[in-house]
Amino acid sequence: MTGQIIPLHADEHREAQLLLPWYATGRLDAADHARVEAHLSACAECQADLALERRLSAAVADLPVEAAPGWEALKARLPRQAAARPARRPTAPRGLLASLGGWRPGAQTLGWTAALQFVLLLGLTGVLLLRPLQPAQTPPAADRGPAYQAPAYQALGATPAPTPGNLIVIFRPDTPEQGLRAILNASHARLVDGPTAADAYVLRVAPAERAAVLTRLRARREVVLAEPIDAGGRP
Amino acid sequence: MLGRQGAAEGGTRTVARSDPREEARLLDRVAKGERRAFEELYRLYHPRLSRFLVSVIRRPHLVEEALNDTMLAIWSQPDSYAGTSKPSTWIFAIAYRKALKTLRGQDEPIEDKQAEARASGEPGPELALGRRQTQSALMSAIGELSPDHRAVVDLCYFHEVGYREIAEIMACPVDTVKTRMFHARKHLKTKLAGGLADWL
Repeated sequence: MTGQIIPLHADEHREAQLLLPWYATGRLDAADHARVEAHLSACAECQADLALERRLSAAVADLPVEAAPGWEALKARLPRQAAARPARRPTAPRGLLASLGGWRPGAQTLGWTAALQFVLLLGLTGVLLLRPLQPAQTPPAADRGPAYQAPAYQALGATPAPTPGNLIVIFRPDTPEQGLRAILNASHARLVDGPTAADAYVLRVAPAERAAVLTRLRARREVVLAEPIDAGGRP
Repeated sequence: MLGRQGAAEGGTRTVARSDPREEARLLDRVAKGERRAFEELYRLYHPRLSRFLVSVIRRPHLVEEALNDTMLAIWSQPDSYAGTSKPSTWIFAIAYRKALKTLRGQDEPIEDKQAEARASGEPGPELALGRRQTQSALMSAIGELSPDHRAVVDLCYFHEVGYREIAEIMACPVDTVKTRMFHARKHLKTKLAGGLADWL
């Protein structure tokens, strides 16, 4: 027994099978390439597999992939965000290049920022849940009773929304705008108000669909809270 | 390394070669804090990383965040590139770790211990499919793979990375890469059956 390993035909076949994808894409070194080629010349099964392999690699490479918006899209969005929500949240994690002038955030810094945001969000959520939520359409001043409190949230526009919201949602603080939009679209929901001071959004969905939409929203990881609201009611 | 740039946006198979020495010089400038070099690197890698991260994460709305985390790691720790591998290997390794971190945040299992059994599972449609149907079936079949298997498939077929580099990127033995690829393509071929007959 010399300890020398004699390669068997089965071993060569298995090794050729394992290396075929890289043979097909031309990414084998000279030794591997020669080994596969030698086996291919005598193995009809591997020859057939190679033809299939080339089709499969071409098909995978041809797959259209929905890429996330690039830097240009992100950059184009930043000024509008800054104008709409001054000093609401640090823009560093989102505004990648714009924020690099004199600051290099470490992964730990970003983690703490996200954690702090989440703790604040939980606290504000508690406050929001403990007080009556005003409907998006506030009554005229003359109709307000002595117990009237100013709305907990600020409308983005000066004109009141034509229809009141009928559910309230709080998203995870790390939910990107694109994800938020996708959730609204999937729920057939219209944004009536928000973000509030607690980063909550008041939405309007078809009353008949509200229960189903709430169930779907609560099942999503991006959603921290989803509750029905009715004019004068509590969330 | 090779990369089929442009496919991330439209599916065209334009193969672009980037010079590792150029990229290493770019990283040098990034290490010196040159913001312009960093932007250049971002633009160079955005299509490739988008494609890779979409393949692994499969949730487009999470991809941008993982991509930005990857780029921020490069910006904040450029000295961690030791120069022993290609810049692309180092960058894809960071992106792969960020993708896994993102998936852990979604409670998605990374490994697929059933991969071997499933690869020999029920066959796909036997009739030849139209090209669009085949793409749809292929995407669905890829979606059934674990993130680890999807990463190997994308790195091999789209980015045309060799198996040793893939092992570096994924920090695993080369035999694991070969085996993952073997089971992944067996699964895809089983699912697609006649659908690939007219491809190419």
